[in-house]
Amino acid sequence: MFESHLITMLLFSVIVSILLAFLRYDTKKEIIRSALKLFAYMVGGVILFSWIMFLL
Amino acid sequence: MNKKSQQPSKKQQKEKSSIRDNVEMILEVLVYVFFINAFLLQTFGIPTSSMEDNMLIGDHLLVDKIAYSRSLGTLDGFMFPQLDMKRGLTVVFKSPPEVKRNNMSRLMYVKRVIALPGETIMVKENQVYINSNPLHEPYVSFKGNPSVPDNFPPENLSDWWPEFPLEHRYNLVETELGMAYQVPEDHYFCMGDNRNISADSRVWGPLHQDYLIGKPWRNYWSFDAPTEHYLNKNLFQRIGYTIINFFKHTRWERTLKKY
Amino acid sequence: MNVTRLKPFFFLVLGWLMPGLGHFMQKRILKGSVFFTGILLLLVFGILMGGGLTDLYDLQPLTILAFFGSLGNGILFIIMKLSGLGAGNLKVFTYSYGLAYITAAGFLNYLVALNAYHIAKVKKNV
Repeated sequence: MFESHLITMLLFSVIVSILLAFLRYDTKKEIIRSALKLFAYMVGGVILFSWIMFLL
Repeated sequence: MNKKSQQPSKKQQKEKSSIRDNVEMILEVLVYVFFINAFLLQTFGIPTSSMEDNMLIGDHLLVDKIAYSRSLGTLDGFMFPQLDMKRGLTVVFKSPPEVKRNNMSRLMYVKRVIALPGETIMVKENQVYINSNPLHEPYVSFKGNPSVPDNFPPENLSDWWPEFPLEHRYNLVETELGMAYQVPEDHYFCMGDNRNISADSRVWGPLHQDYLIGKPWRNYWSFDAPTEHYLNKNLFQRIGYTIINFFKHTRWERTLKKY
Repeated sequence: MNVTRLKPFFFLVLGWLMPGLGHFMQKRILKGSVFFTGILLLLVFGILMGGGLTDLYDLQPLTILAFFGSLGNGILFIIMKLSGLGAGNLKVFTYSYGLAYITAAGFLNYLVALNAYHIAKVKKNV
């Protein structure tokens, strides 16, 4: 399971984005929003840039 | 009067919190740095001329971590542009345990995949034969005093390099051109482009696929310096040399060069 | 023990030593649990992937940073070091993933410790 680049990256992003959100904010709404945003940036960023590297 | 006594402590609070803010920001950035390092891009500096003329000493390259990464199924593999291994692709890999541990040893190497699992490879007077067919290799060079023989596999048992794993020395196949070496499953036969001096699979055996790190993508900085500089353990000397010679020795034309 | 009488620095050190402890001691149970669980998960997964702690085997910037990150795990760094769990297995393909997990856990723990310090400081100033 850990050999999968995607799964390992997703797992890392989930845990780290939750931790960073709890570090930054105190209210439930802010935490959830921040975690989701951070997760999207991390995962989206890697996937997007990986294709840019492939195409360039 | 109250304002006067409040102001210094407020200012102190602000200063303290801005230092702490910066420290916290740096720590968060470091999390992202290691995230990117593991899942997207890694840096690698070339210290030797084993891949000349395609990669020069002092080329600092970005390594694509996605290319040789793995997936479990189709959806998984669909997300990333992962490549199937092909002959001719350059690979950055972790040094296998067979690589001699001397003062030249490092943790990462870069070579080119020449033969795939199951194929037979033979080198005769520097011409490579894959499954008995001569291979056209436009990327190859022969610089420096040859320290690696131009024939492989060696004719005599005693001519195998000591680092070449014993269990792999018997993967020999008789072909019409002579004895060829058969690349074991899950392994790749890699060679440096500069055949004279590259210590590669001819010396330390086939490379197991688990040692792969990534594919050289682009050069971000090329700094002309001798190998001794890159192997110098004294960090301050290296930094000093780099700063002093930065503008003169940077090979500006190689910036962003694609590998 | 009257926790409010303790200096904020004490929570910084405790927070570094054990992820979430600085928060538990200041009655931030939810945050403490999240930090403890999250950092522990990163470390467990990191070890399962064959990752390990980084020693200062050379003075490359990334090595120094990775070493500093490893240290961030506090008492878990010591436990991993002594038990051999922190050795890492370079031969495994997933080694570099594991290394990222363990190093990131350390940096995050520094942030958690600083957060505990901040809570204590704010309380003190109020």
